[in-house]
Amino acid sequence: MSSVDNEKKPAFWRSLAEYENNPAFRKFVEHEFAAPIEDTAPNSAERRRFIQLMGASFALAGATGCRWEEDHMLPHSRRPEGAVPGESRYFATTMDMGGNAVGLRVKSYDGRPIKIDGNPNHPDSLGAANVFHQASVLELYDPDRSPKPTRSGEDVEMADFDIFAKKHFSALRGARGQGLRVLASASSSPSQYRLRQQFLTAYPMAAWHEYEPINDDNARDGSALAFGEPHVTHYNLKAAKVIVCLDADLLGPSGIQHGPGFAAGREPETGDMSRIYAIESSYSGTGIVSDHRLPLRSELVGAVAAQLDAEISRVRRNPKVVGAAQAAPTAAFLKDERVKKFISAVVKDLLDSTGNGIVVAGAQQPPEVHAVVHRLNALLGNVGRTVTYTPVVDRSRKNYTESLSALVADMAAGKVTTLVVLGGNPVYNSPGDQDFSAALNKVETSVHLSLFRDETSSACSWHVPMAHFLESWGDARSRNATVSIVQPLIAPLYGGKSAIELLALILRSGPQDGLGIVKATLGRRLGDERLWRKAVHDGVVMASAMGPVMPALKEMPLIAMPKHTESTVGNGELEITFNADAALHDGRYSNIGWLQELPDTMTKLTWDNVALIHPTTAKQLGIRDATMTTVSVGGKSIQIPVMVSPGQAEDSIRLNLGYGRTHAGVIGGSVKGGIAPVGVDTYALRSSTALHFASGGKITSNGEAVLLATTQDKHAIDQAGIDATQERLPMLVRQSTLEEYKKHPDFVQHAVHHPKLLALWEEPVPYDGHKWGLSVDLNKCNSCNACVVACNAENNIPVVGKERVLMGREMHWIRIDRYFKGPPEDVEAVAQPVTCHHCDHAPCEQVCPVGATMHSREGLNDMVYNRCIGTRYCSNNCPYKVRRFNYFNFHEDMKQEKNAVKAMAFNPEVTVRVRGVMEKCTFCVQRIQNVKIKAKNARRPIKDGEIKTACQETCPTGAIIFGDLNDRQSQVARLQAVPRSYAMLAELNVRPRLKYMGRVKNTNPELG
Amino acid sequence: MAQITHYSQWQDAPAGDNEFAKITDAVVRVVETPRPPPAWYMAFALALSWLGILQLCIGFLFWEGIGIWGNMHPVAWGWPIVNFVFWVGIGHAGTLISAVLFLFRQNWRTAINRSAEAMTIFAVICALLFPGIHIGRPWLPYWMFPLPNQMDLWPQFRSPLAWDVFAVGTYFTVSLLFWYMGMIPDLATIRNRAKSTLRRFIYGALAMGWRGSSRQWHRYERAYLILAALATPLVLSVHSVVSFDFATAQLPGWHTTIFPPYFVAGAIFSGFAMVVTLLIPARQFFGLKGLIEMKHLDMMCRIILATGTIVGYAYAMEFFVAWYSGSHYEGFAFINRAFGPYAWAYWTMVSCNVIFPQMFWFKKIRGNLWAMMLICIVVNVGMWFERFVIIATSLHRDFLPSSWGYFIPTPFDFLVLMGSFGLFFTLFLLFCRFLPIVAIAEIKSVHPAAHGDH
Repeated sequence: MSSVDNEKKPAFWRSLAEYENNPAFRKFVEHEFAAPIEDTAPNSAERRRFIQLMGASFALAGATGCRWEEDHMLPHSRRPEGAVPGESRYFATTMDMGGNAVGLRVKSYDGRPIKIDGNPNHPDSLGAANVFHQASVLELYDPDRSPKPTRSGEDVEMADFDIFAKKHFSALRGARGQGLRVLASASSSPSQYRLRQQFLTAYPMAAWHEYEPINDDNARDGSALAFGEPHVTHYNLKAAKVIVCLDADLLGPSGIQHGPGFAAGREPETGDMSRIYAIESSYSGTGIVSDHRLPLRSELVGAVAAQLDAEISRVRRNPKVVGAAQAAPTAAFLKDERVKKFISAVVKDLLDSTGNGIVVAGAQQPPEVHAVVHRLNALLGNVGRTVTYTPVVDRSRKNYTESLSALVADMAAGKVTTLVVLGGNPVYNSPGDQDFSAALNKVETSVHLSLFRDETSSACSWHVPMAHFLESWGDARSRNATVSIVQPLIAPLYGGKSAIELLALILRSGPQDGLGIVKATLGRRLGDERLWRKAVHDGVVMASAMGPVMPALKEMPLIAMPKHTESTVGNGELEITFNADAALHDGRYSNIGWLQELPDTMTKLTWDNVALIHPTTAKQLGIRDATMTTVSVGGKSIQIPVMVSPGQAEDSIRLNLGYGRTHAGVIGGSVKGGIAPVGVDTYALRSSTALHFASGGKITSNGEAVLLATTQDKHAIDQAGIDATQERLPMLVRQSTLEEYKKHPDFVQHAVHHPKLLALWEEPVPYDGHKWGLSVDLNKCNSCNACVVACNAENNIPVVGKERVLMGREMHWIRIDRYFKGPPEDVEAVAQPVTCHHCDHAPCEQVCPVGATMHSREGLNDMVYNRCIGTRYCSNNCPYKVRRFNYFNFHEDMKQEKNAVKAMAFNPEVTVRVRGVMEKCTFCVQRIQNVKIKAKNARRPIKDGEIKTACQETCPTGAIIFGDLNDRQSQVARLQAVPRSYAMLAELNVRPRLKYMGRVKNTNPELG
Repeated sequence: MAQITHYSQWQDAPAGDNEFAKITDAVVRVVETPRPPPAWYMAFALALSWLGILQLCIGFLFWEGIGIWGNMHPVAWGWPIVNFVFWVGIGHAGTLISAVLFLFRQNWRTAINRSAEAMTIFAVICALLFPGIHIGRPWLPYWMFPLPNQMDLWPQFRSPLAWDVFAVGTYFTVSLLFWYMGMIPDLATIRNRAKSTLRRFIYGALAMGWRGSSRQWHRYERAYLILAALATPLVLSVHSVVSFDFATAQLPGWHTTIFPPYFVAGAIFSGFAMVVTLLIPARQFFGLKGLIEMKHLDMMCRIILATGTIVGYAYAMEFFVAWYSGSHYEGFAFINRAFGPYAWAYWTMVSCNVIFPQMFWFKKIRGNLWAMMLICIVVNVGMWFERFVIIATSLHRDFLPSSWGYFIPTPFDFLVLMGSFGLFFTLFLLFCRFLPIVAIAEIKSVHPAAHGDH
């Protein structure tokens, strides 16, 4: 019922909209009073939602691991035991991304999840998190998330869908599932597995398909080739002396569990360092930290594997390894002196460290290469020591690409009447040769479950909003099959359903709620309530991992050689590689501002994707940097800007997937909202037969200049600038080899010589209490960017947009500087995280006319936002240029009612900065204060490692260590005391508190 | 009392026996004439419209944020600070002419000192505008003043910006007093000649009861001398302090000890160039060729030549010291200036400030109004570029190559700079219309008629 008279203007009114009383407002009022509370978006019932959320938090706080019911939501007249308002609590959950499940620990503040870190109990996290985990909070609070189901594009209520589903699926059940198909995205969930089996029993004529555009099918199929059954491979990097990565980013987003093991092999102080060889077509994080790197087209990597097998088999026999070795390939590139030398060095090193080596093939390499790698590891005696195997749980699953092709064929043939799409976005991310959307038009009824109303949703007859993983119960398996629990942190903001809930609805049997489904699945294992609670609390089910097995090798097929093994630029045929984007993955994160604005590991590009090309290839083809090009392969072409990137393999073009979304939202691009897509859709060029790399590609430039929003090298650097950079690099990023290090462990101290540095005045602060410091080990940083997103989340750092990044106004408090050493044709990349150095003689503090940046008694260089008037003098005087200025009100969008939900992602312990003030890294002062208060209340000293900065906490390799320098036993004090530790630009006498540990490369003397 | 005669307006001063009366007439009739020439109206309309644009820009700036300018990371100071230093520099000639040349008994200064002082005041007003609006929260510039408050918050006195507040503030105050005090006898003259009551009242109030008695003259001259002595160090101090903004920072390209003298020389250089730029048209339009003579302009050209050469020497010295220091960062800052992405700005600066003024070695050039005018405008352009070069080229590439960038101004940068000229010319044209643009009393004291056998 409307309380507003339709005819008259009200005498008293609360808003101009009410006074005007136009139809839009009347609709809003009706909506507000008509809709059930659960289905009301926060923008239409803010107060209620607030009470709900508050209630939710109290219910949650009272009983860890219980999903709160709506009837729990009571005013806070009696405080649940142990709950302190304003004090953060931590809960374990799991995020399953494309079948890779990682256990997480979520910080919840008054019932709102606001920060995510890794769960140390989970084998695939070990306490670390990647950029996607960090950014998932922003996904949860995305105002573009779908608030309601739609039927043929029209908003309807969830009840309408329930009625439809009941009728429709009952009828289908009668027809034994004739014409019913499910297309699920990859999931490791035991519950989904169980429901899938039930589904196939209940609908015997139906079929189940799974598709994931970025997947590890090749590894799975390769292990099946090698062992007859698919297996998961695990690497023990800690024990490894020689690691050979064949087009593999071992430390990539799905390899954070390798961080600690990798880091252990990067400490020259301990004496033993691993040696990493990387052979890859474009620079990866692992390439940055490798000791030797050979840029090579992806299609040629198989030949290297074959060559390794041929050479190693010649000298090493292993009775367990049956079958013939690969014949030494006759590839032209193998005759190249540099390649020859590289391979023979690798062979020698692998043979010298039998049982302590690892050979690993990347997910983009074909199954045969993976199979040969298994053989190599077996030959070298690595299996059981550095390489272990566990069986795959879901053996019945088919290859994703084949599964999708089969489904598309069925759909196109009109065999499918009902299609249920569980997550995923196949209309957007199917390979270009699979016309999924055309086939979808032939399907009568299609249901799409997703967080957003994306490309697939708008092509389906039904769309059902999905519950975010932070809103729903679920379960998942790690790579070694450890079961972990997905625990909700908040009631679904938009009343969505999880995939297992939708499946239960389709099945119409068994428990219908997520908690019930999970309990039913894990009941046998965790029937006892006590065990269940422990599993929910820990996030993982203890002892659920699969034990390692030693599968027997089979005869290997030969690795197919590409058409051309010589340089292909001459005949105009280039290789094109399709890669998951380091920020947007397959495109699912297009609408997350933090990730769009995350500088790419190598190119430092934000808000765009480009074709990467080697400088020599560019020169040969007459292509200028940052121009528009046409890239074509297999008769299809796209228009995409080109970026000349040192470190790219010659004759290989790298394309990143995940851009060019048309239905992502206000950030990623939306046709409906009139927002242009960000970047270019490269799926069009991808075909299901060449999912990862394709030969015969072409690139032509039309010479039209394009503005690319990079955060480094913003303007073409002239020769004088390049020379100066090369001259400075040894002073900024100090590096040596292990051999040299053993002779001169203090080599970093000799990079810069300066006279004795004296102070003009006496130390104004005695630092008699704590003295905070940070140590960054350059040997361990692989530029994974997790710290950057973690800092965004922890410190409420705004996203500024492409235009402002172009102007140089990005706001990141921590950045990872990337430098190239050497000539552009043959470079070595180095990464250096830079954040505020908290100088004891801070140049910024001296020049602020109003004293808005001050030195604390503990040596922090504090920003007083209230006092700052924004002269920006501090930024000019900062030699590290780490200060960021709010040129505008970067939170202006929050004024729109629709975006109010975004405020829930803010960390209430950190001020949201206004327009016109300077900001910068605080060493996470809020975290310091929290621990100090806790320690003071308990009358105990602060333990070393108790305070972790956000960047440190998420870092998979432990490259960042924070602590008290006054505590001589603290890790940071010990690290800063080692000879490898140096302060960058110390010659300026600024006395920074951040010290770097120089890079030490364990180079092979044979390769120089 | 001078005889009231009807001249055809805006023509050359009448010939007559009484030289003093001629001088008074020539100056005061500019104020007394009911209608200024059409050129004045046109110029005033133009200046006023630019002032309006300035106001709109500032209004938008308050609304939207200072991001409307091109300032970025790492070039956090852009055109607003360039403009600030530029205008402060322009404001130098006034005090130099009034105070220093007065103390050195350079009598030729009397022809130009009033307008030069006025120019100083207006230039400093333009300069003062910029620190206020360039800050991120432009409604809070008063936090830089030492205002007692209950929170006991004071400016941070180690910051050169805090020194600036005092240096420029003092300079402005003293210049204003000096200018106003010097005008009192002339204001009294206008009062005496006023026909309407309103006019008599306003100029009477401004003249502060000046009667021209010997006692008043005696005190006036003492006070003038004292103020001149007080103002003299300011000529050196204000731009030295402004240069500390850069010199005390540790940025390569800023951190040099040569800055204070180099800035002062540059300021006098640009200030004199601006005076010439203004006086050539003024003496033309207001018929003051008899008072502001060619020999005065010639003297000014010589000063421009001298200071321009000092500035050129400073440029060369900067390079030498950067090389001699052996510091990589310092050396690169200067290589980058001359050959980096901003080389165009650097060479614009060098040609405008060093090469063009050298033409003043030729007497012919010093006698040609067009050439003089052109060179002086070029010098002003060059001096603006000097500040741009110092600020932008040093900041855009400092220590860490990862943070290097390239500053590009936005349309607002241009509009605000043009708008500040609108403000300057509005004030200057009002001055020309309502106040005596030549120091009547002073010029009489050095006139031959005051020392002859009469």
